Amino acid sequence: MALKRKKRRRRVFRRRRVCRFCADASLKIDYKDAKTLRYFLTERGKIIPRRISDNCAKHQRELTLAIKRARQMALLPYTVEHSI
Amino acid sequence: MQLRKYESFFILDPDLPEDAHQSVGEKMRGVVESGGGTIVSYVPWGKKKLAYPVKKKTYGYYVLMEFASGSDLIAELERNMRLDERVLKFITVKLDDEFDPEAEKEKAPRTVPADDSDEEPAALRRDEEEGEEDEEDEEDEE
Repeated sequence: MALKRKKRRRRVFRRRRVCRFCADASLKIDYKDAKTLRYFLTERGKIIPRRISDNCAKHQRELTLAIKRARQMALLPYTVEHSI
Repeated sequence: MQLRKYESFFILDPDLPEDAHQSVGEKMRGVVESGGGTIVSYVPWGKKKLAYPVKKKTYGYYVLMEFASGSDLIAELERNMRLDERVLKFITVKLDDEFDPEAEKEKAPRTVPADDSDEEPAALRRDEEEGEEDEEDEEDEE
């Protein structure tokens, strides 16, 4: 069945999946570096899943830990929906 | 006792005068040193906006302190921070299981990171990502 599908149109848009932290060794995951971490958050402050961000498992793990630490230190928001 | 390398990152009340910030720093350094630890660096990051209000304050005065100490000193340090009203929040992270004073000398002095505004770091520019989809097997289409 897999073959059949292959024969027909295989118009798959394959995006190159590279983990950003693997590709660039100079990029460190640090919970104090909110600027970098913010890139991996949605507008609502949720952590972007691995399937979207294309991170490898190892770095995603480090990243989530860093984000959670940054949240503790009020560098990143837990949520944006605050009515203060 | 085995020395480990730690860092303590804490937020002080921003409304206090500068000498109050310094006296908190001195107190914490004193706690580490009297407990047999050594301070590697003490860098005040200055006033930054908090992502959410803490104790009704929207700004915080961040300080990063790196030190080496035994593992039981952390409890004592954190107890001091918890008791001190001037400390809004703190986090202590173990950087390394072993402390090597020689390696510290070679390292560059720690500096305050550049003020992070909303600009994205160059390495993470979004347009890098787009346009990378390679269209394969287009000739298959009839």
